[in-house]
Amino acid sequence: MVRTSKQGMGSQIVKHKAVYLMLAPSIILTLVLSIYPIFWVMRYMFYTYDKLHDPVFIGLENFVRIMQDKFFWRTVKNTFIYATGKLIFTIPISFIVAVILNKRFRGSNLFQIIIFMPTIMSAAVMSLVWYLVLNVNSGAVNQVLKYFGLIHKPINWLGHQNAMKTVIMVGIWGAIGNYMTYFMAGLQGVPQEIYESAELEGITSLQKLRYLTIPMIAPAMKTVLLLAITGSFRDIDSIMVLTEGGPAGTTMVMYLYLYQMFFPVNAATSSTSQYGYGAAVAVVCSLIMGVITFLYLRATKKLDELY
Amino acid sequence: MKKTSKAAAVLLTTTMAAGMLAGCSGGSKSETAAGTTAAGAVTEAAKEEQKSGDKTQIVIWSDGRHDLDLMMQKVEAFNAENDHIEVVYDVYTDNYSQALQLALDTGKGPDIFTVGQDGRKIGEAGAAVNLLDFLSDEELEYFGTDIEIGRSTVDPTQIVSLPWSSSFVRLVYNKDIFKAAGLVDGNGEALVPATYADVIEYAKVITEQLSDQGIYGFGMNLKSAGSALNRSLRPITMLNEGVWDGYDLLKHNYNFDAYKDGVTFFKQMYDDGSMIPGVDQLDIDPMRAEFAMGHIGMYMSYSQAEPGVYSSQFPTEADWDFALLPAKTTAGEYLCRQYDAGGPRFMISTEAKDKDAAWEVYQWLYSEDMLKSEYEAGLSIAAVTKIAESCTPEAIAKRPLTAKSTATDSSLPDSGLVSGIAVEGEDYNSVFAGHILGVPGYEDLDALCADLNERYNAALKRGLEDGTVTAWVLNDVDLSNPAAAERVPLTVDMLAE
Repeated sequence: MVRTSKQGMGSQIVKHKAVYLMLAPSIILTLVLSIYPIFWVMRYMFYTYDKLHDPVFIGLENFVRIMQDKFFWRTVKNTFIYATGKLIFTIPISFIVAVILNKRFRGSNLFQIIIFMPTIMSAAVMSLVWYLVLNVNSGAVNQVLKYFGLIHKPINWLGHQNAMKTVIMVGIWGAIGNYMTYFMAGLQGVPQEIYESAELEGITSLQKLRYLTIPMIAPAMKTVLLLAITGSFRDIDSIMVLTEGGPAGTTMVMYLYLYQMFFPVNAATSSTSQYGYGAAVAVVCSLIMGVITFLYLRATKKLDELY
Repeated sequence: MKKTSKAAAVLLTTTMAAGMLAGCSGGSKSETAAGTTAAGAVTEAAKEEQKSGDKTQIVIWSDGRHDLDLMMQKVEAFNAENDHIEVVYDVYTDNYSQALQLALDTGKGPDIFTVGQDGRKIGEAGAAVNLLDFLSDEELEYFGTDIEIGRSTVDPTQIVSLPWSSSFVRLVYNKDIFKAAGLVDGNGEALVPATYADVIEYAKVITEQLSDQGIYGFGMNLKSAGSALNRSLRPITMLNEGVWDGYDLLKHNYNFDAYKDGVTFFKQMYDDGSMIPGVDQLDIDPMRAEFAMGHIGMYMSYSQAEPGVYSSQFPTEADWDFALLPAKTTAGEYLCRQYDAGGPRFMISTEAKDKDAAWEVYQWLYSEDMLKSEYEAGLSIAAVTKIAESCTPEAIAKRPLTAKSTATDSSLPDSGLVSGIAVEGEDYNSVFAGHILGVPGYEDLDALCADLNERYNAALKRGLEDGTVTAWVLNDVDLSNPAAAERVPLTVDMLAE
């Protein structure tokens, strides 16, 4: 039976004041940090606004500009290259590492901590270390490769020929520990009895993985993939430190482009803050992410049906 | 028990909410002091605040740590002598611009504040008073055209700051490397590169002679195209073509064709292999570190910054010096003068409660005694010609081109003549960096310049039409003294002409 209250909102609050007071910090933070910015963006996407001058209403002009902004679409393309490159390595590697470490052998905990370490480190600090390690002239990577005779000329890791590959590599390195942990949580939820029964039937390790492990952790995998996809598309920290989107926009991804609309210090775009255009770009980026998420969820429905 | 836990919950929640609100409130003076200002300044400030009594308190915010000791001495002397004003001098150690912006936005800002290169827009956005309302004719005469450094780009009828410290772009070169590469004159002294051709040739010679020791002719910090080219391509194009940040001083529109020679000059060195490997991943400090280690023969940077860098940040034994930026063809012949990238300058807040008292303090800040003390102690590069002429500090005697040069420098502020331009797509620095580095898609310089002209001029026109851009024409400008030209507003009609 559903109980309905005829009491007003005010008396409800008074009655449950402790509950509402405890909720207040979260509600205030959500309103200030999430809801208000959304309304702010929804308003200013129709304006041109740089803070030096009063906002001017320009209707849909910002969206027309986005359609014609070749550099923005280049950043979208770069984002797909970066995210795809990162995902196709991160997910399999994380899964394989999780399966191996789940077997519990001597030192597995230590390996787990080492692999997880990049996740708890600040992305900016981590990237700064990589920046130093990859330095052409004095970086450790080139020096080691040279010492073992693997290269004769130093590799320009962050030059335009290699920059995208390098930022993807650093992205993978930073992400494996995180997704490995998710996979391990999924693996630990699989009942051991199932494996024991299967072993009695003489199943091989590969068959165990294909017919038991993967189907059993499919729901967890679906969530992990969704997080990995959205995370990869929104990744800007390491790129900002390693290349700032350069050289000449070769590693500029769409969320870094968006960031530079609001904070154009050393930007590859105009040095004036473009809050209005930035708001419109934010909406388009969100729409792109929305479409990707929708397509992914649709595709994974099949995964649900299969298993 | 239930009541107790309820009360505890209420207390806890109230405390949390109060904490949050306090955190958001922008901070009282004591919070500000405890949080982010230099300890010495704060303690004194807090003590003085308590003693202030009937005196009018004028609060000054600065991010100048380098001259803190001198300023504190001066402030103490001022407070001891002045019977009606008390100065509180707060020095912020980090995030100064953001803290200042936030304080000004919330009406909790100081009466007087300094702005560095990145904070100049704060004053121009209406947060600083127009000093022309206070300056006497004698004071205006004293500053002369040096006063142009403080002219607002948003509204050039206003002077929002006065000249304090200058900074100009120079060619920095390592004399030891020049000597090792045989680039010496008849007396065995290092040659001084004076033209584009000289720099290209010397960079090539250094690389050919010394690259096996890891020494290269030229360095650039092209990881950030803006940071690299604003300290190299932009000033040489201003000097040799009269075009400033893309804006043509004579044609008063965007003219990127004027950049072709400068871009080609840098590209030539890159293609020759004369630049240190990895210029496209170098930040300014890693590049300076390479220079300090003696791996780079030449690069371009600001005269105010580099001496301090090589005496404290990256101490070096190398014998280095400044040279004037190279002329396009003939040594010493320049079409125009470069801007002043300037050090921090003081502004008076429009929110200052007692503007007359703030002005009195401001006059003390810009007194001859104060400016001279800063200059003599090597804490500033005098931006006021009369101060610069009054003495020669040791640092200037050692490297005379640290100071302003009549051959290449002017008092125009580097914020330029156009404000609020919002260009679609990639900015010119990033485009030109792409060409210099040979990035695919950036090969055709003519096409790149044509595209930049189209995009920047469209943005200029659009901004003038909707009122978001303010741009200025230097009327009948003499390019050898652009700071003296009268400014008139640029209109869309003038563009059409």
